[in-house]
Amino acid sequence: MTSRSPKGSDPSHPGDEQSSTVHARGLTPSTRRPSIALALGGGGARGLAHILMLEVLDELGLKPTVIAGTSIGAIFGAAYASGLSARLIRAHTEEVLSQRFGFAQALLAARSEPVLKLLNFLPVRSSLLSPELLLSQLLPSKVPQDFAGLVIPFKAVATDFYAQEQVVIDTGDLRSAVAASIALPALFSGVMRGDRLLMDGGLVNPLPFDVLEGAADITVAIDVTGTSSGPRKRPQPSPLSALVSSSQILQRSIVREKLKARQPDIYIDVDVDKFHVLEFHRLKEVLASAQPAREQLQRQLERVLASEPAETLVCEGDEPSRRRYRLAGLKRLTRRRPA
Amino acid sequence: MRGDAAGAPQAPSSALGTPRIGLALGGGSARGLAHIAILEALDELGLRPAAIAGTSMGSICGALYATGLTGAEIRAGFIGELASRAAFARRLAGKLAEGFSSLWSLRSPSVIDNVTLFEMILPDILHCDFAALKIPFVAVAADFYAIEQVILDSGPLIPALAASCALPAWARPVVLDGRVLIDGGYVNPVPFDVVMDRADLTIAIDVTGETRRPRGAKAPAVPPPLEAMTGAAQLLFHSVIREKLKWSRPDILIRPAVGAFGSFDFFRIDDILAASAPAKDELKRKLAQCLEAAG
Repeated sequence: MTSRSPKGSDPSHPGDEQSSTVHARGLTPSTRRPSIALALGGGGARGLAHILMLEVLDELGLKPTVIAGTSIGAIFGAAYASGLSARLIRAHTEEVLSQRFGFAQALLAARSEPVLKLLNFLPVRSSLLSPELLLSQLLPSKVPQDFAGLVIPFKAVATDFYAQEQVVIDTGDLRSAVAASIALPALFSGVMRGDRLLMDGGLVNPLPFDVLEGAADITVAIDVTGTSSGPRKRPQPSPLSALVSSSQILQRSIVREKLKARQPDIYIDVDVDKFHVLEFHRLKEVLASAQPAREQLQRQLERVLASEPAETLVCEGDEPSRRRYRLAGLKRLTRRRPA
Repeated sequence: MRGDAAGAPQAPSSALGTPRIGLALGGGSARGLAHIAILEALDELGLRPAAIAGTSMGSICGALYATGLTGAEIRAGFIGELASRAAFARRLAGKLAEGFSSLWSLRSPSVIDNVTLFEMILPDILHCDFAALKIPFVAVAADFYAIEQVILDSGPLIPALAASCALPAWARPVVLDGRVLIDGGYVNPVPFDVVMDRADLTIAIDVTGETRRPRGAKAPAVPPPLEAMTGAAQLLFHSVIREKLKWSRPDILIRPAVGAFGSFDFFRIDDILAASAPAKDELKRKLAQCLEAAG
C-alpha cells in the first residue's frame, strides 16, 4: 500500500500532471506504478458493490491518488480515503446492515426534528430524514471530521438544489459533505453548506469520473446505476415500481450521455440490475452479483500494472462527429484492445 | 419500431440551396404547448421540416404538424380543446359513457391507460399510421427494462404517442411489440440527435423549463417534499440534456421561458403561448441567420 507515486501525480499539484500522464499512457516500461484516480458512482443499495472494488485495490496494493464519490460512492469513498482497509469497511458494513433492527433504529433516530417542526402541518413530514444524523450512525468512527484528516484526497459530489448545478466539495467538514451527497430528495432533508442547499450528487453526476480528469495516470470509474430494477418476465411494472425506477433510469441516461463525450480509462458497469435502490438488507446478494465486476476490475488493473493498456471503452463508428448518436445504448460501447 | 437509427426513412431531398431542416420537439408535459409557437414560426418563414422527432408532449405536437396541419390550426385546436376545464371534462365524460370504460383499470386505479385516453382526446387526424403522415416523423420512447431509447416510426400512431407520453405514476407503461415503454423523456428529453442525419440544419426545442433560482434568492432552507421531488426530476432531465450537449449540438437550440408552469398546467395554454412568444422570435431570427449563411 505504499505505491504513492513520486511527485508529478500528487493531486495537490495538478500543474505537474501532464508529463507523467503522457509517460504512463505512452506505455514505456515505467520505473513506477501508474497512479490511479477512483470514481465511485451513486445508486443506493446497489453501491454496496463498491466494497468489492476497494478489496481489489487493497489486494493489488494500489492506493488511489485521489477518490471522487457520489451518494453511496461518497460514503465508501470517504471511508476508504480515511485509510480504512476494504476488509474493515466490509466488516463495518456487514455489522451495520446485519442488525436490521438497529439499522431501522438508526434511520428513525435520524429524523431531523427542526424539519419536523417546520413541516408540521404536512402529513409527509416523517419521510424526511436528516442525512447528517444518519451518517453519524453509519460511518465508522475512524472517518475524520474534516477533509484535512484524510489519508487520500477525496471529493464529494453534491447538487446545489436551487442553482441546479454540481458542487464538488473537497475541503472543510467531511461529514456534512458526504451527507449532502447522499441527500436523496423526498427521503432526506437537504444539507446547508454556506448559503447553498445541497442534495444528492446523483441528480447531476451519478458517475463522477470527469471530476478527476487529469488527476492521475489512470481513471477508474465504478458505475452502479444498474440497467433496470425489475425482472424482465413481468410485463407491467407496478405504478410504484415505475415511479421509483424512473429516477434511476434518468441517472442511467446521464451516465450514458456522459460516456459518449468521454470515457474513463477503466469503466466497470456493475451488474446490479435486480436490486432496488433502498434494498440495503440484500448486501450478500449485491456482493455476489458484483463478483464478475470485481474480477473484471482486477483484470484491467493487472494489465495496467504490467504496463499494458487497459481495454478502453470506445464508441463504435465515432468518426464523423454527426454519427455519434448511433451509439444510443451502452451495448454499443465496445471494448477495444489496442494492437 | 426499431432499437435505433437503422433503416430511417429518407427525407425527401431538398430543393437546391435550401437546407433540409430537422426539427426536434422535446418533452415537458404542459410546457410543451410552447411547441405550437415554434411551429407557427416555421409556417411564417415558409419552411417545412424534412424530418421531425418528438418526445412526450413534443411527439403530439410533432405528429400534428407532420399531418400537414399548420401551426395556427394546431393552436386553434388546442385552445378549442382546453378553453374550459368544465367543457373538457364534459366531453371526456361523454366519451366514457360511449363505452370507453377502460381508462382506469381496477388493478391499478391510480394510473391511466394512456392509449385509451389518447384515442379519446386526440383529434381524428391522428388516428392513422406513421406512413400516412406528410412529413417523416418519429416518436421517442424509453424501454423501461432495457433502459434504452426506442424510436417509433411505423404502425398506428396513437399507441406510439401514448408510449412516448407514458409518464410513470401518471400513466401505465405501454407495451408495444413485447417491449414495456415509458415516456421518452427518460432517455432523450430533446431528441435532436435522432433527426441529425436526416437534416442539414437541426432545430432543437427544449421545454423542460428553467427553474433555477439565483443563489441567495428567497427560498425555503428546505424545500417541501413535493417541490423537492419535482425539482429533483427537473434536475435529472437537465443533467441528461447537459451531458448530451457535450458530445453533440443542434444548429439551433431554443428554450422557451416556460419554467414557471407546472407539468399539468394544460389549461393555462394562453399564458404558456404568451410566454413562448420571445422564443418564437428568437427562432425566426436564428433561422434567418442560418439560411443567410447557407446562401
